[in-house]
Amino acid sequence: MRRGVLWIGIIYAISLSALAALLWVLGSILVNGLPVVLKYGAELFLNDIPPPLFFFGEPQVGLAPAIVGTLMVTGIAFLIAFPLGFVSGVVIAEFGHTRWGRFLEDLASTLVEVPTITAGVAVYWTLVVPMKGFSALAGGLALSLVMIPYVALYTAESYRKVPKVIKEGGLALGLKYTTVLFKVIRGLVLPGVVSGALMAVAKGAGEAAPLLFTAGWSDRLSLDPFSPTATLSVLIYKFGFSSQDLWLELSWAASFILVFMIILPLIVISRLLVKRHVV
Amino acid sequence: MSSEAMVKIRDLNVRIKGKDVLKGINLDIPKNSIFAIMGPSGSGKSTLLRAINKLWDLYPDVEVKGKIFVDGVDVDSMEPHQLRRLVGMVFQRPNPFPHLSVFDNVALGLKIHKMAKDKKELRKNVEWALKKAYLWEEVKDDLKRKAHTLSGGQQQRLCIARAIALKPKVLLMDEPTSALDVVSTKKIEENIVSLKNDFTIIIVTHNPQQAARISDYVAFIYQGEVVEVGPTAEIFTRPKHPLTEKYVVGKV
Amino acid sequence: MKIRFFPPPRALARRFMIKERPLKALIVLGLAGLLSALALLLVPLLYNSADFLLSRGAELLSSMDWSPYRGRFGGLQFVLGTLWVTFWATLFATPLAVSLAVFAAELAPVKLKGFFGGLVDLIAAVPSVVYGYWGLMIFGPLLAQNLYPHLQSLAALPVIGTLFATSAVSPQCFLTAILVLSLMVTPYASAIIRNSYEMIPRDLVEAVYALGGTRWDVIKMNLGYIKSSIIAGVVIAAGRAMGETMAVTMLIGNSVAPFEPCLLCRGATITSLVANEFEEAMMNPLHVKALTALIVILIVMGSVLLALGRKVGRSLAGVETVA
Repeated sequence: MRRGVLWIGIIYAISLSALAALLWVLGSILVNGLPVVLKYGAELFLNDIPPPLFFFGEPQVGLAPAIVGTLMVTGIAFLIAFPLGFVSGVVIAEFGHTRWGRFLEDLASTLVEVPTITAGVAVYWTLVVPMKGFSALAGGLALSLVMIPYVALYTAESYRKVPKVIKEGGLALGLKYTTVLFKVIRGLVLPGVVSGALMAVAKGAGEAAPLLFTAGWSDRLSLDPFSPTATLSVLIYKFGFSSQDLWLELSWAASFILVFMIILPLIVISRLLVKRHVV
Repeated sequence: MSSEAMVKIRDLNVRIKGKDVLKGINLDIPKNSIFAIMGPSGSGKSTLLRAINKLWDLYPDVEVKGKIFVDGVDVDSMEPHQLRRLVGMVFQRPNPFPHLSVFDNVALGLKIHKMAKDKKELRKNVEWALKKAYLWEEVKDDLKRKAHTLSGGQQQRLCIARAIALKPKVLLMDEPTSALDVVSTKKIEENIVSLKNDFTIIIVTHNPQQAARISDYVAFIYQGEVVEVGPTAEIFTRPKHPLTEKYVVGKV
Repeated sequence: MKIRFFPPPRALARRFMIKERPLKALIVLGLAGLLSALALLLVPLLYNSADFLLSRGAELLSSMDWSPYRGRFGGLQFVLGTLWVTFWATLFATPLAVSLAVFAAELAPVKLKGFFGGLVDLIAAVPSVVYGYWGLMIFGPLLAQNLYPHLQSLAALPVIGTLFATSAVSPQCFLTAILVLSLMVTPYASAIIRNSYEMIPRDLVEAVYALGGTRWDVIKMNLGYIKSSIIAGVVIAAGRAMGETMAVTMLIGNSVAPFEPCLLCRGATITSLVANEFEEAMMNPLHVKALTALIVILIVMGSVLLALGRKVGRSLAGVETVA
């Protein structure tokens, strides 16, 4: 036998089994989650979350508070994270050769590695305790701390891809550096920046750890950023330990909605944006 | 050509991405000689060299047609890794494995082909190769030194040692001095001349003076075809083809 | 005399930087963005755990008696549990990550490479809580039925037997959490390793082939060449494993009993303890501060890990930048 064939075989086997595991996870969500979504149909997206025990007839089954909660909390997080992360990203890309630029880049890549539950505990102390209660706002703030470094790193990547000559061309015309950065090359960096922002949102939408003791929980649909709200990720965790079949079903349905209807589409759109636009 | 041929090339055609780079090459390369392939850049010299040790097999967009025989054996009848044990190669840019020590660089090929019974024999072979490559005196005190700490010329001699450690029959050299300064070049040229007793050397160069200095035979290649081939003295003093004449005086 | 038509770009940038007000503002804003994130993370944690760490930090790090209702806050088992889970998850993830990187960069057919890379990224995109739920409902029960009883019978072996010593096999235990975790952190290491693998100079690869090396010889040389990146990737994966929360909380069994070096036992990590107890702890000021203090300890552990990783990586790095 030729040298190393065995080892290469092992690499194949390990790689394919890792992929098989991924497909197993995704397949389980599909097989267990999709039927529940189909069974309840539109109801699932309109009704409140059913209470634990049902004394009076058929319960109304729904996930609306969690779906809306996820969208709201992620939206709030994005509104906070994008401006902060974006500016930091531009500085990282444009002044990477200076002391402050390097410092920011190190900081961003360190913040990405911070455990996300840290954000939950930190925001619990800064918002939940003084406001005496959970709120979508607190959840959004916690999530924004997770998203900021991602936005910064993705933004920096897309600004770095713009060739120096194009920027210098703008500068040579006597334009201000900031004009060049935010107007002249806007068209070139926009797809990259949007794609990065979508990735950061996809990352945030699936997080549960920062939301457990910030956004809290609510069975009812609420659009008030100052009141607590359920989210899909927290629901999967909370109902996942339940002994009620209905709740377990809802956890699968929530997993399906989160992965196949929110996160995957975001990633696909993000990829398409960058692929179509090659700088 | 007189003495027996170590490498025979018959009707060699190479197409890279659908473009003909070499057309109908026929060459006989005599044993224990230095055979220079010269020509302007882009003429297909390196392409020819890489066909001999089947390095083109690694690239799916390169088509090689024709026959090559090494020591009378059709290279297509051998596995590529067996062939490359018989045909060593030194590259244009010194490319020792920078993360390995001087010793391990030379020993790598020996280990791959399990050519040493034990540590002692391995050491002996490594020392032999380093001496042959004129590098031993400079590195013998610290064989554990990482290869990337050597100078450019030393790195290239290390690459020569790495190739000859396998005791190949043929040594291919692809412009081995083009990335080096004059002093290093001189040392390597002396080295190459000293090696022809043990190996058949095919060296590619774009520099006609280098071919004149060290080779026994020369083939002049232009736009993918052999224009003229013969003993070096003849080619440089009485070229038959007007293009060759122009080239050797530096006008092509 | 040399005539310079254009100042070099860097000088150009520097000149504009000094003169342009908005640019200065931009840099200040950029700094403010990330620094405020850092401050929002660290300040509340430190401020609200400082007194606890000062008064009871020693107990937290030395005792394994955790009973908040009786005012006992010995948290050593959670620190050890975190290290235990991190160690094993990293150990399993490393071959996985290296294999995936080599597969994607070297072995996969050219047309499949992009697709394959996308799939690996997808592993990282699935939320932690979804892995947790999958482990809870499907993977854990399967292991408990088919694998763990066999492992349990190894408990009689000397030395390694303690790994499998448990009174009752449970689908939720260290090993379930570790296995799921190792899959989850693999893409982070794999991406870094793959990136370096694809940057290896072509002529080094050709040199191995020219010596008569096979594809496997090439792979071995390449992996040696990118050693420092492999270590960097492994450290990143270990960091992720250390801080991973939801999947671990759902799969580890959440036992506050003293730590034992065992794979089939139930246990807890710092993150799983906090996720599991924080809500009830909000009623007990000391309890919630103890949990906050453990989070601070987790951050310190993570920083030490990253710093060590950077040091090792740097000592090996020299080569990659030279060649």
